[in-house]
Amino acid sequence: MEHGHDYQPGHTYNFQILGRVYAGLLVLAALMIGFFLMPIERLPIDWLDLHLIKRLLILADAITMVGIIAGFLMGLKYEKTKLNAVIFLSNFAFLTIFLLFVMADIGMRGAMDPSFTKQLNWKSPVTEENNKMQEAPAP
Amino acid sequence: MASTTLQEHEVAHHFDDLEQEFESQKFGMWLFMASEIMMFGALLVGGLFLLYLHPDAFAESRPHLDWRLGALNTFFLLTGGFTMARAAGFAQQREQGKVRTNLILSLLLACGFLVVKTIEYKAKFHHGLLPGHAFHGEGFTSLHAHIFFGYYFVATGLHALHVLIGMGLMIWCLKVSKRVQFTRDYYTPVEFAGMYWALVDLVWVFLFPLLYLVG
Amino acid sequence: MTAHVHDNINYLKTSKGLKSWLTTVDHKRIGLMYLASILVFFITGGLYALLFRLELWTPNKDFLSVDQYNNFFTMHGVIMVFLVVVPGIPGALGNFVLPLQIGAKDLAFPKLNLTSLYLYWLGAILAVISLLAGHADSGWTFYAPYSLSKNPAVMWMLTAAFLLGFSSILTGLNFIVTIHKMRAPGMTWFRMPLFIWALYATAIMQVFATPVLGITLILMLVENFFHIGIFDPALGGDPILMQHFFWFYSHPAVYIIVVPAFGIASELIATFSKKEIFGYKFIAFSSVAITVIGFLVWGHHMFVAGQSEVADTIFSFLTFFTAIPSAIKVFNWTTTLYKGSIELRTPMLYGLQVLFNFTIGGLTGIILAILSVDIHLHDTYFVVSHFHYVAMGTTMIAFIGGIHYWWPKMTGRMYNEVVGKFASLLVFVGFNTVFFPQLIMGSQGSPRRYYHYLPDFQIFHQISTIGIIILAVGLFTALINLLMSLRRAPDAPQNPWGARTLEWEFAETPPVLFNFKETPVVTHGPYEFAKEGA
Ligand SMILES: [Cu+2]
Repeated sequence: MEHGHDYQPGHTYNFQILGRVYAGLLVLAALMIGFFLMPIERLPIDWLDLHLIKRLLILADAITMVGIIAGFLMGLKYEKTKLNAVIFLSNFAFLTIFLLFVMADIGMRGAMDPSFTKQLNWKSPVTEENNKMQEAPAP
Repeated sequence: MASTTLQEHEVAHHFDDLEQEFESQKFGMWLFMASEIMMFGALLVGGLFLLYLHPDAFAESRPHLDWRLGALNTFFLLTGGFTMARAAGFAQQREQGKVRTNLILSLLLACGFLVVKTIEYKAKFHHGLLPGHAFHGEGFTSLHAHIFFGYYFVATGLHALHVLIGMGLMIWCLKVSKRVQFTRDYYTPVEFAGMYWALVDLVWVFLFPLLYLVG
Repeated sequence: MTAHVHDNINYLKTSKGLKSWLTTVDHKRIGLMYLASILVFFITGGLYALLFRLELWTPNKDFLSVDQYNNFFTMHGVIMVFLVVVPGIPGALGNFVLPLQIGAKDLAFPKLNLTSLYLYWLGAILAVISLLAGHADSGWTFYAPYSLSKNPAVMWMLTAAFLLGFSSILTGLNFIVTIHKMRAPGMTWFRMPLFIWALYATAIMQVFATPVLGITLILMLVENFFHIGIFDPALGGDPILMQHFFWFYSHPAVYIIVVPAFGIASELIATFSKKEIFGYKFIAFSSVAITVIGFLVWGHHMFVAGQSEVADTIFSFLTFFTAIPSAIKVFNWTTTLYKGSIELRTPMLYGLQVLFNFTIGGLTGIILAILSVDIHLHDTYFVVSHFHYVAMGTTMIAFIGGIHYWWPKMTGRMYNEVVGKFASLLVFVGFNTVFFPQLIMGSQGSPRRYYHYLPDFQIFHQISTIGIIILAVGLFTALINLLMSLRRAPDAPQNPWGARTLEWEFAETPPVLFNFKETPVVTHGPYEFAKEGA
């Protein structure tokens, strides 16, 4: 029991920093919506996939927000051990692997063997039924 | 002072000291959040897969979600994260009353989130923008718009469930605050509820653009 | 201070009655309750196997209908995977042994530990409900779209698996925190027994992979009820996406199943060779390496499912890497045996079986990782045999060996050594008689899960069926031998095997409530036998 005396759990919250973090998050959220509303894809540049650029901008914004949330609201920045940061980052490592490999499947079906159709192209009976119902009253 | 009637926290029997107890619990909390992130992360991977598989369905369905409502909800969640962090800060300063105020504020913001969500869900039901066979939206040319709305309901539904769990944690903190005196050495419940709320924020930060902005 | 009087009595006697067990937070009692539940389900799952193996005596109908047959192999698979091998070693032996081996009073979160036991029971109850609700017949893999046909039995099963996954996450979380934060003074990372390293690697997979199973099962249930169309091809979904989700968990799950068994094998082989284990750090790190590689190879289950050839090639390539850490273990165990003073006690006989069976199980895995070969072998009895050599031949055999090893510590009693050895021999012969013919039959193209089969394969099926009877006799002999020991007076010495790990050297047999009368201070590694008596 004795050697716990000089120990203080966690970090001391600083309201000033918290206020700035909150403001920063709101600005980033506004920026994200700004990217969405900006008609970037109508710029007269055809050698760039502007839709993709727009998505990447939004993604970068989201990742920044996640970094701030994890760092300040979850307190990752103040942790004394690296361990918790390692856990958090390995999450993203595993998920990136998951995404990349799933995309290596769906994005490349038929890449080597053309007889292999790109995707399993099933027609949806749900909307087919709808279409039939819409067409039916005509006769 | 109220603190005369409140108990001080005691370290559980199987821990040696406060340090071991707090650090273990913090570590456990991180692992738990890691498992939550894996779950939502996999759901997001599924969403991206569907976006790739049916871009037309996503492009056509996305305008049926109102980004302004989504933005309002983003505001509610981020502000809730802010007030939860303030609650933890006040817990460190032994300000039991201010802790409660901030917890209640966070609860109200969470309720606001759920109210907006309900309004959105109602509109979807009204327009028949539903999963699977229940889908009867009008004016869709894509064959797979029902998948977008199916995914929308699953993802936001699961997220809303976590909002409810987060609210449960806030209520639990309110209860603890009536019994135990929070101190610089013991503010764990509020801190952990705040971390959990930050997780709810974190998931939303990805979910919001995927559903409302990107499709 | 009455509490202190209680603290020094053995944990089985501190309190009495059913309620004291159901509300306990003592990791040792929770471990024993896991052990009892898991053995019950092991017997249940085994009986299913026995019944459908008897049905396969002839190529045509004997006494089970097609429906019953499909249901029986599904029940066998689900029970064995989700209720026996995944929670098995961590839940039963890990719970009991982990705090003892690192010198802790309990796990970091005792109440959470009880919660995961209750979640396990709840999952088990749902599995039983599924049994009453009809015939679950999707196989344990729940592949879409067949499992999306609104079969209530399958839906109950999905829910059961979800709860069992949740239980598994909580156990893993508890173990990781305990290993990091609760080690006794002097218990450095490299003084930890290899069983702890194995549980640690397993726990990482439980925490990071199981949530993906959770979301898969949620999506499957939602798909069943609301027809979202994520996995259902008829609605525009992609059934292969379901397989990605499923195997992202279930391949690591194979290592969740087998890595703890490696840990037990290391304990058994080192202790009964009375020799410092060869390549301690290599074995320890190979467990962690398996964890990491285990996350990169799930696509090898989908070579013929319609996955892209690019993904096929990547997954096949990466799968070969799993051979490296696996082989490191096998070589190090063999080297440990070399010039050791080997004592062939009952647990050691199981340890040696693990070495033998895992070599076959691992090597057949490499054969299956080869793309072109897998096209031929996919979904044949070869695959069945391969994973039974791992899940049964390695994991369950190690589990049984571990039970024999820690039984004196758990109960305070020694079992009959001669009967124990005889039973282990029967198990060895029985197990290999069941599964070796299946390797041959599979390589000749006999597909798995079929009710009717070509008459050419009948001889293999019959040998296999004879094998399962021998295996069953062996397992029951072992079980009865253990249970009979409970009728004797407590007679086990504190350290019957002369082991060097904490639970034998410091803890009494059976241990006191908080494990040690005073916190042990660790001064040597877990396998330093040479220094004994020096
Ligand atoms: Cu695999």
